[in-house]
Amino acid sequence: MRFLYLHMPRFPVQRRVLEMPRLKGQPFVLVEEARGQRRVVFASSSAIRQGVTAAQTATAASALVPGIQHFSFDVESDARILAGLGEALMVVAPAFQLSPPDGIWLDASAAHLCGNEAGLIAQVLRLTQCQGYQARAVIASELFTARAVARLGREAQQIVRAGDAASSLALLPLRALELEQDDLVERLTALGLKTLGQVASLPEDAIVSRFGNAGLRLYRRARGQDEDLFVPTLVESALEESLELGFPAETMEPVLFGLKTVLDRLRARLCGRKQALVRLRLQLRLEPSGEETLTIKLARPTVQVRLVLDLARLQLEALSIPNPIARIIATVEESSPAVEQQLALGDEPEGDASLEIVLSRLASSMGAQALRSLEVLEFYRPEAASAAKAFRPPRRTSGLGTESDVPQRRAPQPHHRERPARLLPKAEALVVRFGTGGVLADAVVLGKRRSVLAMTGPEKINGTWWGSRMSPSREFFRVIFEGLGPVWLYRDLNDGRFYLAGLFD
Amino acid sequence: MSAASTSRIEAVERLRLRIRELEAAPRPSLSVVRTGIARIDELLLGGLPLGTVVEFCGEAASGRTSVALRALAEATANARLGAYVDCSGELYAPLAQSLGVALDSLLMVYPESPKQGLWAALQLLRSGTFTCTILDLTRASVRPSMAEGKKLTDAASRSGCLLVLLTTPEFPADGGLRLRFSALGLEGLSVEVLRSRRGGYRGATIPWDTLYSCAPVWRHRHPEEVPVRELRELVNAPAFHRQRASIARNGLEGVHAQRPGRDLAMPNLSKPGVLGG
Repeated sequence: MRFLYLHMPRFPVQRRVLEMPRLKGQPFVLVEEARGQRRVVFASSSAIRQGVTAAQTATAASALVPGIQHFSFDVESDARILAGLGEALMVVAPAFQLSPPDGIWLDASAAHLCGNEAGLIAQVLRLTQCQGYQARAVIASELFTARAVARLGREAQQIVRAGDAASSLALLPLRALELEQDDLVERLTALGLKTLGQVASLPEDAIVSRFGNAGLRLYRRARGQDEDLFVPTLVESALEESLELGFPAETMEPVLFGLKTVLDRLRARLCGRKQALVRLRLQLRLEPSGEETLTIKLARPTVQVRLVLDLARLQLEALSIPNPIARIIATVEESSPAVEQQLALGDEPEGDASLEIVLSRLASSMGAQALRSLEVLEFYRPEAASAAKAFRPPRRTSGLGTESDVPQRRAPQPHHRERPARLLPKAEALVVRFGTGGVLADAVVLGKRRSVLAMTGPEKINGTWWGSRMSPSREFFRVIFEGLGPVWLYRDLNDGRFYLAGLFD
Repeated sequence: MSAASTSRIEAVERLRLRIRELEAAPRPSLSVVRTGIARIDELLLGGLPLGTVVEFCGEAASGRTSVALRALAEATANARLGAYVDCSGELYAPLAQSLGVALDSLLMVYPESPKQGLWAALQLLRSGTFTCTILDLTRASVRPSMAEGKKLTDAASRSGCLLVLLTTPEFPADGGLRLRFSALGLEGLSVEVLRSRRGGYRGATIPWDTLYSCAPVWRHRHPEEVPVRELRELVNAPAFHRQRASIARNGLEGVHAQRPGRDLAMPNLSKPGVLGG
């Protein structure tokens, strides 16, 4: 099995700079509390150039670089974002394993889908760069080999062939073992050993007798014999990303910037799962207290961040928020499989964006319940023969679509052709007069007494036999009145009265 | 070249052509939206032109909604989206479906007031995604103002979409093109086309059976019992607003653009008592 190790040097620092662009080029450190002291864990390039190192105390760092900024080193948050990145890379790899704080192992068995292993490395680095991170990538047959060469090798991209692990590791310094037992590394250094090649050239029984099983493990790794297993990280089913804004935001711009960062991460994770966004919930935590929640619902599943950002802006503009916003949490409530489609000639990709924006604008002003789509139901009562549902426009298909891509539309029933274009929400009772023979002679219709010129019918409906005495039992007639076109009347057999039901308008 | 290789080359070319046709199945381009009723399409010189606002003005039960739905059906049949801004809440879906409207491509908008309906129609036009939008103002008791009409016309022209306004003679709108619908009793319905710009008038009578494809069996009243009178009532609807092109271009000019007091008539100085005399 082959593994790709993706190393992002000082990943927590890169992440901070992405979230707060004003930190770019500025000296800052990430500190953690250890044994009562605040010590530097990571420092920015600018701080390192001015002499700040890891394990230094925060006080010493401040003394070295006056005005240096301090941030807390949040292990869990970094691990979460690293996991999100790994999920995004599942577009090119079936599984990933985290190597906190700054690396991910990927299963490279799908390299043939990118052409070859070099193609896989190029794809992974491209996807990582799209997220804004600088990275190095190495493919090897052992987990330790891939990581050590990626972290300390000379080249940023390298493929270690099976069996060449020992020669690739030979020139690496003993720091490559730094993540393992530190005391062993110090003892090897004290013996005058500087590279993994020198460790590998020692006799095995001497290593075992002097350092025991732990030394044997290090020795075998130095020779490219790693026995660690690849344990894929479980992907969380819930898709949620959050971001703490540097300062509570009172204007739209920093909120939108933070929202874009969050949406970019969600988009990458959705792409990794081959899903598209249908409904998104945004929670805005306010400072000092309070929370606002927005829901963005899309008519068509999408992974376009710009579109979702525009919709969020429209909704935010309509809100009045009492306090500054300190934190943004975005949760994908509904997603659907993203089916990539080839555009047909004449298709306008930006048409989908315009559709979403106008639907969002109308929903914001008039309420989501004002936008509906109609469907016809098979029910004997005319007023219950149609229902409203959410508007989901059909997906456009190219000529290569299969039969399942063509929207299935129910054929209209023949009797629907005899229905009026307008059905009054409430039937109006009519005052009628009958002529000789009991034929309807005239009626007061739309405020005026009009004579009947012609009529046809009846079309009868009866209530259910188990229904109450008042279940609908009607005779429908189409009548042409003087000065009007055809109208739809019914005689209610329960009370014997005539009602105007609809207009053939 | 042998016959076998020639026929093979021809077969490959035919396959290539077929693949190209299948890969790019473009939507047919539209410049007009036909109503499907030959007499009305003839009056409109082909159909309802896209990029315009057309008004269907008529009394209740005069057939205007059915004709508008047929235009919507034509748009949805060509893989376009349509919208119906229903200020009255009366549209009946089964008839719309039977006329050919694809209900999944039709957005229904239910505004709370005619003003909100006008705003919604404007947004739909401006987006350019709904080829045919119908705005039902049959129950509105206000006439859309000139400014609103101009906004709708501009939006339709820029987006290349069609807006059909359903109005009544008492409260018409000011689209560039008006179709006046009148019920002629048993004969059918009368459709008259009036244009505000190029002027002109054309009319036709459409039997009911053409509009509603089913042919019911009518039982007619005895002729002696039917009062014989003119069935078509001509309501004096206000004409189109007309404004000089220079005012539309430059706004009010001269004294009319200045203090409103200048528009008042000068007092008649020859009358006694005007100057206190």
